[in-house]
Amino acid sequence: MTRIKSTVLIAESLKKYLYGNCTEEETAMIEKWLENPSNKSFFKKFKNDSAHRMMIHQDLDLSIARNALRNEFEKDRKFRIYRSSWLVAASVIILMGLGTIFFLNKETPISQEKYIAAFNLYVPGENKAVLSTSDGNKIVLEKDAPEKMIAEKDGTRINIGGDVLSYENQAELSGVMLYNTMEVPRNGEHSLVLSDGTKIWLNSESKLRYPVSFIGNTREVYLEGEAYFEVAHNAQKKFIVHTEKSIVEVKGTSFNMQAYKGETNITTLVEGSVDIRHKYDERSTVSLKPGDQAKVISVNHKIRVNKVETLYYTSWKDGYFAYKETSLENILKQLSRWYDFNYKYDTDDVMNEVFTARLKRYNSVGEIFYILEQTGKVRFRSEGNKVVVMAKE
Amino acid sequence: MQKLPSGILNKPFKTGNKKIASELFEMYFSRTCVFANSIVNDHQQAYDIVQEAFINIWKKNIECKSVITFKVYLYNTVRNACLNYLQREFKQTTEVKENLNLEEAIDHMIIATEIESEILKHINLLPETRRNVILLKLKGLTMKEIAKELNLAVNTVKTHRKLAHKQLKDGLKDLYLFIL
Repeated sequence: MTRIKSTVLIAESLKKYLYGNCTEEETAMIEKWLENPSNKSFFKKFKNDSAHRMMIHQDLDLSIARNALRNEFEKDRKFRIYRSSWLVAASVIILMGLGTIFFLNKETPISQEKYIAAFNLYVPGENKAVLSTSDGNKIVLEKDAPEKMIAEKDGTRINIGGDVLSYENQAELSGVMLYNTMEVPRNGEHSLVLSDGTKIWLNSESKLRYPVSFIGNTREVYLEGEAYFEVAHNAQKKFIVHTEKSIVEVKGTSFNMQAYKGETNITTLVEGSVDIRHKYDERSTVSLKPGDQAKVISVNHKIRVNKVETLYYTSWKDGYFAYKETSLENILKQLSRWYDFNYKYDTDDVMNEVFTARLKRYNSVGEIFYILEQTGKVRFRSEGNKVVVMAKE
Repeated sequence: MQKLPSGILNKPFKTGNKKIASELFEMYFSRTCVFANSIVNDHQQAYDIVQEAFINIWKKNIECKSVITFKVYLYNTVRNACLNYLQREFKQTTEVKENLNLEEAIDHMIIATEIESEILKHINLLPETRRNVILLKLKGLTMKEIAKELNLAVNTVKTHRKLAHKQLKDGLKDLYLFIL
């Protein structure tokens, strides 16, 4: 019998002994054990540190370790799926067009597993948001919450629960327009259907203010952050998106808008047509065609238009991050909102490195860092509550 | 806080089962951290070591006749990992392993951890206010401080404490002596 085994048995017997339901053999074993003076003195001192240890026990935060264990469960499940089909595995990670990828880089002994473990603090985002109703109530919208219906003061019904929040169309409405706000935190996403049937996907750290029912000649909403719109067609009622810097007028169309505070305001048109202008300059109006991307230039209140492949700007709502020669800084901005981490650069020039990749949005961030590292351009390290980004030597 | 056992560990089990592994984790992670911490004297290291031990035990899918088999395996794994860490970190050579005092201290820590876990199990079964009074008392707060913390009158706190102790005494029998 190993030493540990006999100790565990003594511990078990000791508990029974103290509860008073020990067998005779166990009692004999305990008594023999207590004959040893050092064991006896241990018992005398026991109480001294006991409270302290119990407090460590009681207050321990298991969440990090629990996540790590669940991560392993998850990896195991994925591994089983992927093993059965290499095609699936291949489609998970398609790194394109880079001559600099060394999948067999001998200088990177850090395994993918270690990478995933190092960053398991940061989990992918999921469906979550807070809805503020017109009377100031806040409703937390969570993944897998039960479905229910609530009514606004004007009678508009709101369906809550499930993946999408939706407003029911009221035939005739007049009077005061009531506003709701949906706020999606970092590490979250949520979609909604407005009363006119317009579908909106809100990305992490984004906020949308909108009327519960549209009254009057226009449909106007206010965005901060990133959203993808599929606007229901209605020639009589223009749909207008207001952001910090721009105003977009829509008739019926699909487009993505990035309007984070302090960042470049980018509108990417997928279908239909929109007019965009700088908030403070009506003469800056530009009409976009499908495939156009408009950036708002703050200094001169102008709009600059480029042709782009829209896929790279809308893939987030379909569960992917797609990058084509995208700078590391732009990639990390997006990842940090989704996985909710802070980051800093060890050397600044690495932030301008560009990457082309297609990555799964619901994969662990460790896997994504690992893939980026395989390009030989960059390395990641977890330090306290920050991710440190380093250039590859 | 410890969760209540579901009973799935009462018959032989394999640690590779996710349900089993989760239950083992919830029941034994904290106490093992306390144990590891008493050897390495570094909370973060202890946490990391125990986390890795649980992951490995899950991966290895160990057959356990009872919880005791599991505990022996767990304590052994963590003990070895802690000693390896000390060796690596402080260049303490093989002497550690042969150091009888250390072995004995490890024995005592296992016993202390087990008894304390048993006591905590009973404390956590107390109604909320009684539990809070006892836990704050263990943290070293005075009656007056506890009353302030819980927003109660000192006399109310005393009543709760009395009731808690009576309940613990009934539940813990002679084990109760350890928290007097």
